[in-house]
Amino acid sequence: MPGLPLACRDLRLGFALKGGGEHRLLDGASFDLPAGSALALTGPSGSGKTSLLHALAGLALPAGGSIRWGELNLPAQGEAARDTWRRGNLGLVFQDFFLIGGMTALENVLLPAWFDHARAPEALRDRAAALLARAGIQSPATRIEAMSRGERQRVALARALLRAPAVLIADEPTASLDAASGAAAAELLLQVAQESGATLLLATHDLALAARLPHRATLVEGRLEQTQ
Amino acid sequence: MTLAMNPWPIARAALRRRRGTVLALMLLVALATALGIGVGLMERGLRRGAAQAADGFDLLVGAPGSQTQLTLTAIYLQPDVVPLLPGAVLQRLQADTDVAWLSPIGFGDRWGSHPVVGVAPAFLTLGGRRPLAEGRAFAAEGEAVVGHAVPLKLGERGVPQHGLAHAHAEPHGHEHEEAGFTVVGRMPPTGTPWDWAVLLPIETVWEVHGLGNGHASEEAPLGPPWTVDPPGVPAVMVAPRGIAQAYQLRQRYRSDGAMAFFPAEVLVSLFRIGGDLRMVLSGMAAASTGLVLAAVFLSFAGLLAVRRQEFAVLRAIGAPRRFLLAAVWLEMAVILGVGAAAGFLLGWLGAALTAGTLGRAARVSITIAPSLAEAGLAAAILAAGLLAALLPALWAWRRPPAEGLQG
Repeated sequence: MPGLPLACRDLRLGFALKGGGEHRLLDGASFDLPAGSALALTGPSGSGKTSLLHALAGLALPAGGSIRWGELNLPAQGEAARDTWRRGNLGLVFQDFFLIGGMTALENVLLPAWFDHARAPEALRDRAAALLARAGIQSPATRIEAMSRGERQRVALARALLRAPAVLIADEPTASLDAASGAAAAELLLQVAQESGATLLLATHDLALAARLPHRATLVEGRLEQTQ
Repeated sequence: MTLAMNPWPIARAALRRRRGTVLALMLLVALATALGIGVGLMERGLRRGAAQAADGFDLLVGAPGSQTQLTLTAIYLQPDVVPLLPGAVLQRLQADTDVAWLSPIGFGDRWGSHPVVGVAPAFLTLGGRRPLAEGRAFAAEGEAVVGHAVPLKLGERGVPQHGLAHAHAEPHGHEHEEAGFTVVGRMPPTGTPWDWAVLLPIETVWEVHGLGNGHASEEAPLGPPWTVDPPGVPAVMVAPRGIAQAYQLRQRYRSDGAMAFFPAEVLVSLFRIGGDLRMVLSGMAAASTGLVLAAVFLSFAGLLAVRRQEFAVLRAIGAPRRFLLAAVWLEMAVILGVGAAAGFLLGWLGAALTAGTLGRAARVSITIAPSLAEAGLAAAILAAGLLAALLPALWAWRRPPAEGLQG
């Protein structure tokens, strides 16, 4: 699926503080990302990178402004419509993988297929197997608990890619991995994003990784600074 | 939009991850269900067995005294010293035109652990209403018809020991050689202690105890009328010609040294007393079932609370809320379904074992047959649980996904 372009206008993020007032994470940012391009999002801890990604994924609503993926203004959609949009367009990768324990690697990858199929279609089964092979997972029938952290993140990546999403959002995908595992996971992510033409948003502390992406932005004190 | 989905892998993974807890919860549900079902089954089995026991005993006539005691003695063959009904009343009864047939019930001897009871031939078939299981009715002294559970075959002989009546006079007991009997018939099962009894002609029981046989000659056919000074008997079972005659007979033999009553009425009033106890028991069973289900529900809600991250992740990667609802509900349904089904079988088995043990001890058969009521109870427990499971499922539904994703 070719990537979707992103256009944010006057995007404001923040949360109410106890005892009144509001903590602003993003104060009216407007930015664009062309379809199929890749943006690295950096910034100090607590600057709101994760909150921004959640808003872009439709998991949380911004305090104001618009987030347009293609023609669709995501925050204006209802909760069910945002679920549907994520299912059809988005692949999410988390710092802590968030795989489902008690299931095998293959089952974890096939999980998104079961959201709207009683039985995963043949094409998705083949794709799941191919993605796991590509991710270097030797035994897809192994329970996830028995896998190393590096393997788990590659399984999580395969899960995000199952439905060939137009948008990939990765929140610190290498932060909880050792250097070698992190590099392997990052390499795989960048490769598949480029091959599929998906629009990639990647939050990271790893400046070397950020440097490999064509667009970079830093979130600091409520402002988003683009650093080309 | 399509409603197709497959939440089973999520439910299965959750069941797997907490196998121990899940098994414990299933066991709790099973025990709660078994308790409710077992108590219900036992209660109904006892009630039905007791009602059956009075079947055939339309009207009992005995000497004035306790109706309850006479009922227990005549129907459950409980050995007890009861006052004897004078032979004169027996003579009046056998001449009464409202009586279809009658049979004295006379106790005395035992054969092994089996009571030997003297009756009239009509009693064996309830006046022709109930055929024998095999063989024929006794036609002469020295012949016997045995209860269904007596271990004697047709044609086998037995010799009763002097039992109850003379146990104190002759502590060692002696065999009544002259009262040896040959089995000629077997009664159908009745579910009462009568299944263990050896039935002899009442004339034999009288003669063994030196009371004559009530007939003018040795050749007279067995049974009424007993014309020559019949001895007193503990009870006479009377089959009236009709319902109106039954009430008239009861009225007629309520004085002059006699007491006539319907044993079914005595049993009903006995069960009415037991009814309050049953309600307490059923109430306690229902309460503990409810408590166990509440505990199961709370532990399940607790299990879900620690899984809020998993639900958030599912939402984040595109699961519709109904998928979460279905997964959580399915998981609870498995626990409840397996528990309730196992509990149904466990309750049935438990009630059957208890009934067997109790029944053997009392020589009463308690039939345990699950009915729609029990299946309904299991289904009600299941339905209540599934309905209750919607609450935590809805909780999972309502959580905003971003919340669960923060570390």
